[in-house]
Amino acid sequence: MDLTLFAQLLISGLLLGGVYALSSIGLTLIFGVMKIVNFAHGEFLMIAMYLSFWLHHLLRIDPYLSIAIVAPALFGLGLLTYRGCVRPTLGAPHLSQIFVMVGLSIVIENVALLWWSADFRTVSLDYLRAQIVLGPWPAVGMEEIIVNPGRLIAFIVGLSISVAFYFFLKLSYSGKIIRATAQDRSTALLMGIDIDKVYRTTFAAGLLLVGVAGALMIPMFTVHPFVGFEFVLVMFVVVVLGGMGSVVGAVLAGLLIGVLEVFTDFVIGPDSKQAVYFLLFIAVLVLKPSGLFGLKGEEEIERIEAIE
Amino acid sequence: MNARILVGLVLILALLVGQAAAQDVWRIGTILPLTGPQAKNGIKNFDGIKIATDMINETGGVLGKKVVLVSADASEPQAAASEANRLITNEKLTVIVGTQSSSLAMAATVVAEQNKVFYLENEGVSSQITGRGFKYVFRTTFSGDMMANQMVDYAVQVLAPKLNKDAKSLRMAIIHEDGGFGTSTGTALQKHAKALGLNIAAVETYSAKTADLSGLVLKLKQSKPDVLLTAQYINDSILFHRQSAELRFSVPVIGTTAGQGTPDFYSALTKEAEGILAGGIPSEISIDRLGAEQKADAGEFVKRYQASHNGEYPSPTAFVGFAGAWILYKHIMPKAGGLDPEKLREAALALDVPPGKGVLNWGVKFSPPGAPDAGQNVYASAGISQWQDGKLRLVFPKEIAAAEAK
Repeated sequence: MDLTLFAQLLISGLLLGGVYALSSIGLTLIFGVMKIVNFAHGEFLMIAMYLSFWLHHLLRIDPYLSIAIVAPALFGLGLLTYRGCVRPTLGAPHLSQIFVMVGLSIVIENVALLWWSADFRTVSLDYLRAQIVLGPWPAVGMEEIIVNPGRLIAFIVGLSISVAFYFFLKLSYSGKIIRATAQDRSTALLMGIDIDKVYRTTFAAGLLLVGVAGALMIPMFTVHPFVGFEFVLVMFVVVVLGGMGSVVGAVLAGLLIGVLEVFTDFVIGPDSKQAVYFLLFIAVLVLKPSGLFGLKGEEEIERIEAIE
Repeated sequence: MNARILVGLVLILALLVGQAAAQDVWRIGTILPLTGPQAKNGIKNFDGIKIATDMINETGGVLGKKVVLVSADASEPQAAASEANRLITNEKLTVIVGTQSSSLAMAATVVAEQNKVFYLENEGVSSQITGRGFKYVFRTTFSGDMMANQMVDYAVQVLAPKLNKDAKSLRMAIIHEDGGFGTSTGTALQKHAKALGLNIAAVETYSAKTADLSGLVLKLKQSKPDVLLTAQYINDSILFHRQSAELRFSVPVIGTTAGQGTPDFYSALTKEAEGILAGGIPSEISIDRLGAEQKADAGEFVKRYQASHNGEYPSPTAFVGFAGAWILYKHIMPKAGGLDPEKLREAALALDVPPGKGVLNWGVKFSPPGAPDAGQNVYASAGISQWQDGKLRLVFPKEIAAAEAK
């Protein structure tokens, strides 16, 4: 494999990984703080993509500008979902929580099918057709390398969000409250932290992030009622691999999976890419159950008492 | 009287009336994916059957009785099998029409065959459907092999001369998604290409649910093909062509009407879709080349479909749904004198409607039992279409082509 090809595969892989990371951040945040697995995460991504699609289709709003509408809308949806589906099951056995979230995902999927039909819809932006071309560098014998601007934007935003989040959690007072709640719910409660508020905002923030992801993904991917299902499997792999609850871990795991996928496509063949990243996934789970960047014990789902 | 009891009584009454009415109608089952990922085409196929049913009922039904559809929804093979069971056991049906997708058809037809129920497949193209020696399964549409052969033939007969190459030196690459449709079409493409002694430069398989195909594109680019043959669905074909354009991989592509030939594909790629080819159902020509009666029927179908779909021209999947039901109502049921599976079988096997006399320009003649493709309509024909100025024009085979290949 020559250097140009290697670099092209690496860049394509990193950019794909950026998309995976971006779409998984919200999922890992919700899991880390609330220990709730949001099985409807893919469907929320689908809603965000549809919102952005319709804003572009009907009102000619650029998908990148539509973030200003889609993200707050998903935040609001998060508050509603928390109140309607998440809060009532907080004290319930873990299995009930899974049923509620899986049920919610099925409902959303079918409502989308009813409202928006099974058409495959796309947004094509002319300015994204202009590719970014790096090189050539004759000195090292490398030819041109092509970078997809849409994926580059998703990559940069995904990375920025995770860095911002990292510092928010480490440095700010609100971040401290969230970390305290995540680490020990009961003690946090004794210290006078309003757990309900922390959960509510965390859940809504998780959806806000998926709102951003949806708007950034619509220029590149086709939206249809089952698009969430297509992404959710890899999102879970990314979240578990990175260490459940670790935003930085999710980004690094996303990039890892992206690169692995593209190289497997090229070297072995696209039919084995899932096999390869699931093998890695199993290996990591066996050797380090908390994921690559998770804290020890993070994977254990504790049962918490109901709020109220 | 308590309102609830009243409602109950009304419901019971309605059921009784329904039962009585069921006595003098032909009840025919349909199994199609009306929800789930394949619902888009499944619903259109059903609309085609529904319009055929309305049309036949408005002209007095079949043998003086109206046709009533008992519709079942199956989005997965297991559901297709259990719905087939339900239609046969609970609804006591003896005829089922379906199934849109090959994997659903494979599951549902097994149940029908076991129960000796007449099964009319109108869209699933996998060659296996009629390749298992079943006695009660008939397919009105072409098989995947017939379509794949035409795709390869097009490359050899039309593309090679255009590229100034002789057939043997034409480098051909094949990619297909790893589901039932992709695998059977991909295998058939390779088989026919090998039989013609062609030069296959690469064969790649991938999952249609993937979010990225850049590795595949780069791999194909390295194998430097002159033509690319694909069996893809909508989502992955859009992704593949977008990433190919990005990574500057550009060769003539012959896809299928399941992916490249869909309106969604064109609206996603617009200018980049121009010139791309799709093998599949030749819906365009049919009407002009039909006899007067068939032309009127098909024209009526198009009119009704457009009236109920905001003016949208029927997609190939709606056409085959209509054509299958029309063959059943017009050619098979009248000769069988009803819905007895044995008599339907005999009537179907005795049919010989020459091409041009059936709806959609297809004739009807089913391959006899014992043949390797028993139950296959040998007069069905696929075609190759090309996107030209935003329209899918039929360009191959020459005998039925409506436009010149560009």
